[in-house]
Amino acid sequence: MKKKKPTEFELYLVGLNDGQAEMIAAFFTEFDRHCALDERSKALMRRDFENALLYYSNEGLPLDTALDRLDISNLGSFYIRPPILWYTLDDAAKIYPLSMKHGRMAVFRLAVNLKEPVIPELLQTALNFTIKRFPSFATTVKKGFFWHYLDTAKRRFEALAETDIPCRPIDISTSASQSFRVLWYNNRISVEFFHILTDGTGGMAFLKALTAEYLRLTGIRSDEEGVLNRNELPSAEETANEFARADSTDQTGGFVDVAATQMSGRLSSAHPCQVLHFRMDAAQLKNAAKERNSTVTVYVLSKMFLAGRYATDEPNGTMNIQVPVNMRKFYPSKTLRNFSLYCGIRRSISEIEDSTAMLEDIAGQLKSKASKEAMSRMMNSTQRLLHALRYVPLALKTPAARVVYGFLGDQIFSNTLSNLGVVDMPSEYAEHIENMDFVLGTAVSNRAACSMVTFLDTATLTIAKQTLDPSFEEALYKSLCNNGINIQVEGSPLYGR
Amino acid sequence: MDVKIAYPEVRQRKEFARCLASVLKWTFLFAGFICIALNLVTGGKAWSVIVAWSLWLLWTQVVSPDLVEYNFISQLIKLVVNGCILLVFIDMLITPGWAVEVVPIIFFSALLTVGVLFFADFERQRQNMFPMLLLNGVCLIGSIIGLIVWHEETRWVFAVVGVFALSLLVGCFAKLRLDFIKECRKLFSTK
Repeated sequence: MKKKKPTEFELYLVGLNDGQAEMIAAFFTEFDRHCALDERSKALMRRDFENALLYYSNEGLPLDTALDRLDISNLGSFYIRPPILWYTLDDAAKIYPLSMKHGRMAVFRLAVNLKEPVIPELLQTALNFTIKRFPSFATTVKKGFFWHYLDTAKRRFEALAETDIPCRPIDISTSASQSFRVLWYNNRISVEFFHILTDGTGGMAFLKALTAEYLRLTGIRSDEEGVLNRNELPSAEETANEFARADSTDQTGGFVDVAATQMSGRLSSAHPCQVLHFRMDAAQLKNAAKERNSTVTVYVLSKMFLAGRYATDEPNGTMNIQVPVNMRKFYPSKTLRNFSLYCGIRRSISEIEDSTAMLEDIAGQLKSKASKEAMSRMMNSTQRLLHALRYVPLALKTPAARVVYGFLGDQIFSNTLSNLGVVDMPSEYAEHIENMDFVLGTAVSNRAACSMVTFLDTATLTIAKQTLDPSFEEALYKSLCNNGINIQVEGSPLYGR
Repeated sequence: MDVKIAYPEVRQRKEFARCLASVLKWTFLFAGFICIALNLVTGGKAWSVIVAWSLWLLWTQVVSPDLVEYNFISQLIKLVVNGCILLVFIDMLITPGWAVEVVPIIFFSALLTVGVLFFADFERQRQNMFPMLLLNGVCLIGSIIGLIVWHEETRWVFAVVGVFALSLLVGCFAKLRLDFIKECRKLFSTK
């Protein structure tokens, strides 16, 4: 019979002395005490630890230090207890599983670009340790009779090499499938979330915790202030549906609006067909906005209107840019679920010009449309709609939602600007991070979706495109450069046609 | 504007799969439309209903499968339900008189298969209980209707299906006890 070739880890074990071998044996005994996953998942997770130990060994790290970093107690009781928790979808999340279809899903990406290449072995271990802190993320989407819901999935969540288009749909169809993905490519750690799980704020909390844990495993020490501690118990508030907190009012705000003018380029076959990151000096961007007596968001919106004007052949009509609004600023909350709504900033095409008047108009619209009152009206509308639909079986809701979404879709908007604002990390970790990215998945007919995040001195404006027509990004680039902002452009190759 | 590429190249095969799905969608729609139009023009029996339902069955089972809850049990149940509707159409529109016996037998076989699959791998499959509960519900309601409507010799098949569906439900309850109530709360939550 052919003898089985020893694995790299088995060869590593042979080279250890008795004391070290005992330490390893004790380590894996402890692992067995903390993991009751199915055989395959358990074997994979065991291999994750073996790979991490091999990495440390190759780096010349003493075994006791390696075992200290990989301390099994970091797994907590997540992998040993049976899955009992489940979560109803929050009010904003309910539409996502209803409106998704093959090739279309509301996915967004948050990424951190490190100064050193990512070590996959440590990233996987970091994910194994971090996920327990985010119980509503360790779930799988299930169908109920009236609504979808999130059911806890006890499994090994995977960190994979990035090989595909950013923000492509996540396969959530099989039993215990995960609704987010962790990817690595060169120096970048990315997390892509199905919007059913969380919004940008909750997603960023996860990315920060994962990155912090990854950097800790590489040997960097920090007090981890401002990052959710992986070993802390999650609070009930973190998984709460906070939409019920809307100020009670009889007034409601509609979702329906008149159609907006779209950019003229032909829709691409891939979604998105390209992702572009404009990396700008945050101080320069802030100064450019300040010189015009506006905020960064208003300034960038005005530039997007101008660029949008160049990207359409329509001489008339209005452009409408969707701006997500974080409800946590009106209703302070620690929730990691969705807690954001949106408003639309409109401007007639004929009135789009590089002027102070346009900046003032955008600022005025933003102030009134993204106010607490306006958002509370929208929250009330959402609640009433969901209340009216609560006894309609899912089998009827799904096709109806698809038809309605197919007709309305994103037609009322021309573009989106989601600004996550300034993200911070403990200084010890921030030293090892170059910048961050925030990528929105593309909608149905909008040719672009823009998103922004600022980390340290770099503001990154990302454009997820759905047309090969380069007019929008070229006009935006020129317009920002003309205001004295230096931009470095990074991005993806073109996908599709 | 120079773009520094910071993303991997993507294999073309995935692009091809996306195009194929789009082509198939329009082919199916076109085939269904042509059949209905031909049937309306030529008259006679409504065979196009059977063709349209067969296309739908093929579409939903193979070309555009479920995006959520895609597992062996749910797909088997979907196939059985859609298949039986097809048989009922054939019975009603082409050759009448046999579906009343065949359909309950198919449902009974489906219940048996699903029951075995469910209880053989209980810990994993309990997350997929919803389709099985629905099948049980359909079988129970169907057998009650069958027992009320049909007064011929074939009545016993409805009774067998009904009793078996009920015993599967009792089996689930016996296995899960209080967790059965919890599972039902998840499945029938209106929040």
